[in-house]
Amino acid sequence: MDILDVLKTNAGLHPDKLAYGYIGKEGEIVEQLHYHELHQHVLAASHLLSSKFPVNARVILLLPAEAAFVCSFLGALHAGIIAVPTPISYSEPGINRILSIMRDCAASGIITNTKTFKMLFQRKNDASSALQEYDAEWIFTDDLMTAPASPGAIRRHKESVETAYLQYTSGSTSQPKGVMISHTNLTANLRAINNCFGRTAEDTSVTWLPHYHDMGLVDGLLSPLFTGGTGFVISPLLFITKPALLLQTISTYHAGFCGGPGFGLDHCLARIPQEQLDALDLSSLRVLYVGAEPIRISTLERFAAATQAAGFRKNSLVPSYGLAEATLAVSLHLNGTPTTYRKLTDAKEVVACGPPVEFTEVSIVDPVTNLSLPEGKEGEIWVKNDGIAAGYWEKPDATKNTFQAYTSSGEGPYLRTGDLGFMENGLLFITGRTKELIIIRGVNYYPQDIEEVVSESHPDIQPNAAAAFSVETDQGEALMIVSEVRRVAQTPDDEKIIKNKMAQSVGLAFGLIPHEIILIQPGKLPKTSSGKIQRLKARELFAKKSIVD
Amino acid sequence: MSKTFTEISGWIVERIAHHAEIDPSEVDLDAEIIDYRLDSLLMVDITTELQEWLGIELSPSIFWEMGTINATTQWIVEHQEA
Repeated sequence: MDILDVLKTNAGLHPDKLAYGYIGKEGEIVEQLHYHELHQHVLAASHLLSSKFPVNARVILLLPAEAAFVCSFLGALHAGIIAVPTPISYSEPGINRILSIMRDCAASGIITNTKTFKMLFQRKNDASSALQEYDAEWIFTDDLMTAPASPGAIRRHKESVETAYLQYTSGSTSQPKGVMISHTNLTANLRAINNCFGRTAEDTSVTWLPHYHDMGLVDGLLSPLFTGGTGFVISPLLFITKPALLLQTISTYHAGFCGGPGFGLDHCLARIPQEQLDALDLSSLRVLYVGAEPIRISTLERFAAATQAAGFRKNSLVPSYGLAEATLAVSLHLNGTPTTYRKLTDAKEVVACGPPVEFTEVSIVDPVTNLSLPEGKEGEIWVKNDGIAAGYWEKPDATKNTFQAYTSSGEGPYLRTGDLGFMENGLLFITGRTKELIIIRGVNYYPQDIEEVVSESHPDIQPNAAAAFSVETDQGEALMIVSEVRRVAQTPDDEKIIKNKMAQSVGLAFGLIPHEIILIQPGKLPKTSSGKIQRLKARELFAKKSIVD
Repeated sequence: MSKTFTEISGWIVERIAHHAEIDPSEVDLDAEIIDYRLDSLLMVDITTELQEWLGIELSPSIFWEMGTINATTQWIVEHQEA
């Protein structure tokens, strides 16, 4: 039973039940899809897409959080087309990221809507012309959603282990990596998540997460469908501007399930007055999972305290751990039980992300010697289960390194997560990362991409001499940049201009404002003998220094 | 209804001053908006409010793309009829 079989079954069992409701600016439902209707849209989309693309063609989905996305996504899967959910962006660097994904997977089509299409080409620049010239067929959901019903649309055959969709791990321009998720991966992980959560067809879920991220797609959108329940969708932008809508929706529809990065909880507390929180009823929430970025205990504690009067139970908080390479979840706290905290030697406290999900093996391995480590010892987290993808699209070397790791005693293959942690009493604790990935507000950024933008932002910046890394602040992880400049800014004014240019370029490219920028003299950035930038060392040198200052 | 340059720039100045917690007179139309060091979440808020107020769709990154209040306003004035 894969997700399409489940859809068909649910459409037969309860055709008039609400599958998805889309929340508008005032909390009203602006779009809805009942199970039968959803199934019909999926069949119609499949029929139309089958007539345009061969099996296994890659098709980009460039859509906002609306009903057309889930219909097109499932329609593509039904047609045996490899769906590639991609973030929408209208800025030049953003369009370049879309292009780099399209080129990486040799996409032959783009599904979007006329509004997005118009916005993409509103400003003429090199990126938008390149997109216009790219040889792809544009399909508009305005047509897809009104396509004639096609109840007899035939599902084009594919093996369940073949790639169903590509999950790009970030919008990385320099090296986009598309994780190849099969139906086998998706079904195994959806089953693991929902068995652990205890989510049933009686349940209602709410999501605000972007559907082009693993968490937003797999759990946010597909879990409600997989369990035959109802999912309410709030667009990420709407959540950012009106976070109260999320909690209001949970309260109104007695939702049992919701989740996201810890930043979402902090954002709710920062923006919603206590009186407004107190007026909500959050007693229906059985799972509020927190993951996608390092979990801060203070976030959990503050949220639980602030929502206690609204009936929220603290043991509904579910610290979780997962990654796109494993479809989504690796380990989940068991909801309804108290969370476990552990003090580390450096006085830092970490929360347990529960036991590994069903049929999952987690090994803690020394990342240098590949030796398996005993209970309680910190090392790299290696994972084996049916949710682990076959690899990265057309990247055999990266696939071998990441997905086919063997311990020194020959056990494997494992997925190397690049995350550090330890196991204790069957629970997984996350302590850090071996990779230099930057995670801010649940979004992954590759330092190379940010450094490239930094290097090109001002003529006085020394090329290949910038380091981007994350630092801990009171607001969670934040971006810090250290860069060499040719003539060390002579006056404070020069320095300010360069910093502004950098901040603006990074803001434009990534929607991120650097927390701190440090300009240094040429040759001061730590590099290896071969000239590779040592980001972790740079963080050690400069992040500490700024604290002392 | 189209809005004038002064109305639009005035609106943006007011919102930026409000969020940056400074007096509107301290907001310079030609300064880089990034200079006000507003959190990226607040910039999203301002852009969304601006869209609603104008009744047109804007790129979420418009302020970063245009750089200054003057440039942003100029762009909107030229495109608000479209």
